[in-house]
Amino acid sequence: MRLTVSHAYFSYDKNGAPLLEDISFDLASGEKLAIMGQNGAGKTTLLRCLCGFLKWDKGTATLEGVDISSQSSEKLFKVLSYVPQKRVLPPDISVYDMILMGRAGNISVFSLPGAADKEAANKVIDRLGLGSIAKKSCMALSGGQYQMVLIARAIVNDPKVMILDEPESNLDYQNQLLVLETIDKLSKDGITCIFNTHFPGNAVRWADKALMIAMDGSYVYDDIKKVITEENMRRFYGVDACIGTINGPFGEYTDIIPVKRSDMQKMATNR
Amino acid sequence: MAEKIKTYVKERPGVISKILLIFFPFAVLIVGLAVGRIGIRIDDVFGAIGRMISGQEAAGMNDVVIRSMRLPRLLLAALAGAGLSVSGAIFQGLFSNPLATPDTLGVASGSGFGAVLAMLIGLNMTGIQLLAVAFGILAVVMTALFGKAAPEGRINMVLAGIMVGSLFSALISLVKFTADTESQLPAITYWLLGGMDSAGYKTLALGAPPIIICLIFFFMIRYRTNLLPLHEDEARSMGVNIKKLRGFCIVGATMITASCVSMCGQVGWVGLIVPHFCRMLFGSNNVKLIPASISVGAGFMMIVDTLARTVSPKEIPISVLTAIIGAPFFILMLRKRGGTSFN
Repeated sequence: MRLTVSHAYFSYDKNGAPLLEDISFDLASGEKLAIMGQNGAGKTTLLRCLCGFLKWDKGTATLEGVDISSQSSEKLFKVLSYVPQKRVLPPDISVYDMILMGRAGNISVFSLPGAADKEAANKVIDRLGLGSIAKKSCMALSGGQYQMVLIARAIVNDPKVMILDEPESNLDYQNQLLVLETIDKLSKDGITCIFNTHFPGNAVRWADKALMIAMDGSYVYDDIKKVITEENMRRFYGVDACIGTINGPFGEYTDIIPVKRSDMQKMATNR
Repeated sequence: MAEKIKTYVKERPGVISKILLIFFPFAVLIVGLAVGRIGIRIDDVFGAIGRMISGQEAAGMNDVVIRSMRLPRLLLAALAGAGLSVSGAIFQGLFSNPLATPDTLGVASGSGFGAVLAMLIGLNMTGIQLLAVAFGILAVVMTALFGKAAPEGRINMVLAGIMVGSLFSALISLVKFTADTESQLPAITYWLLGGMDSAGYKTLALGAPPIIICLIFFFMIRYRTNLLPLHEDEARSMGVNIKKLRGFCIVGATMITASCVSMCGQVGWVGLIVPHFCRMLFGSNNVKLIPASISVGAGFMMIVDTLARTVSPKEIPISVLTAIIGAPFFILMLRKRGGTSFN
């Protein structure tokens, strides 16, 4: 499903300068977009606008040509799904019940989950290999497992677009890979994935495209390799970085090493 | 051939626990009807109930005691227990806070103030109930507004609730201060301790319908109430209007609390103990938690009330008993099962 954002603006302070300025991008089915930038640059805000939680001041975001803001949330969230950042402590309900909760929009207010809902939940548990933890309480899970449960809950309705807020934050290497491999697998099944990340190294390996936002509202959007450059690292993150290719036993990979805060940035901090 | 999907979690029908949950409050009711200053044999209790249901005249002293004293009292206890337990469970979900109870929102104090104010100005039972509901809703609206004024909602909501609660507690003290020390003050003080002795069919006719309606409502939407603790964006992304759901739940839980307070004073602890006890037994899914809270809450409160009027020659205030029974029991459960947590 094609997601198109054209000339979109957003600001919290309607009289001040916009936080997001003239954002335009276009994603085809199964593409992965990494949204990058410093803390407070507006990454989460952009995601929330895409989900329709916040309204654009100007401009539109469309799914297959249909304006997202014009759709009812019942209809919209059948094709688009949102995986929140796991900053709150998980609730004390089972993994199965948590995943089943993703079907809540399909279950009328006065009913209980039906056979189709339960089947959908079991299917997703199977798809992501969560069978061994299905009965466990979400509270007893590791960070990586809980993130997988949140992803499972998001795909229980077979969405076409998935939006993830910092999916691999606060996870160790194993769990980061588990989550990123899952995102990769889902994108190969045709789900367009958009995620925020603080790790340019993960973005360059796992995303197809990147959108980098600066603190002043400006941004670059292009193929991932074109966005992640030493110049952009300086402009958008305020760091001098080394970008290079590492040859190892498993192949050739690109990585980014932030070396020092750039001189311009230091001047700004010292002022 | 259609792909076979493995079922990872078989939901147990739980027939035995369902039967027990239905049976428990009725068993307590029968025992409660039999026990008291005048002991009545169980078969006489059934006889009396039979005569009552078939519309026959009261046959003897036992029938009168059951009909006009013990039954309305136990019914009130059952309603208050079920109501306070469910509203506790709902508030805990709403604020994703295990310590959220009708008291946390200031609802109980608000309703209490409404009731004592009505007593001060000499209103009848209808007036007491109406003012209790009105001030309960005022308290919850104040809490919601103050809590909303500060960013990052729910924690501040609880703080705002405590603030509103202490404001109304102060106003209750003010009412007590101005009340007539000969007649009004003892009545108000005694009422604040909580008790079922105001019970009569007239009180019930007025106070029971809001509780019953809200209980049915919460029972019907029990699956949906699982979404209450979720973050707003999270709930919205499931295609659910969470604001509307929260609004209905706040009003419903407040109505229950206010009606309970107006009929039997401030009975603490029930909204905390019963839902937690049920969570430990049946898990945190509201599909099971809400019916379990109704049953266990009703049974628990009838037991407490029966104890209140039997263990000593003078009736013990019910909130004293709920605290004496509740606190150690709760600590014991926490130690034994490692406790429950909620978000």
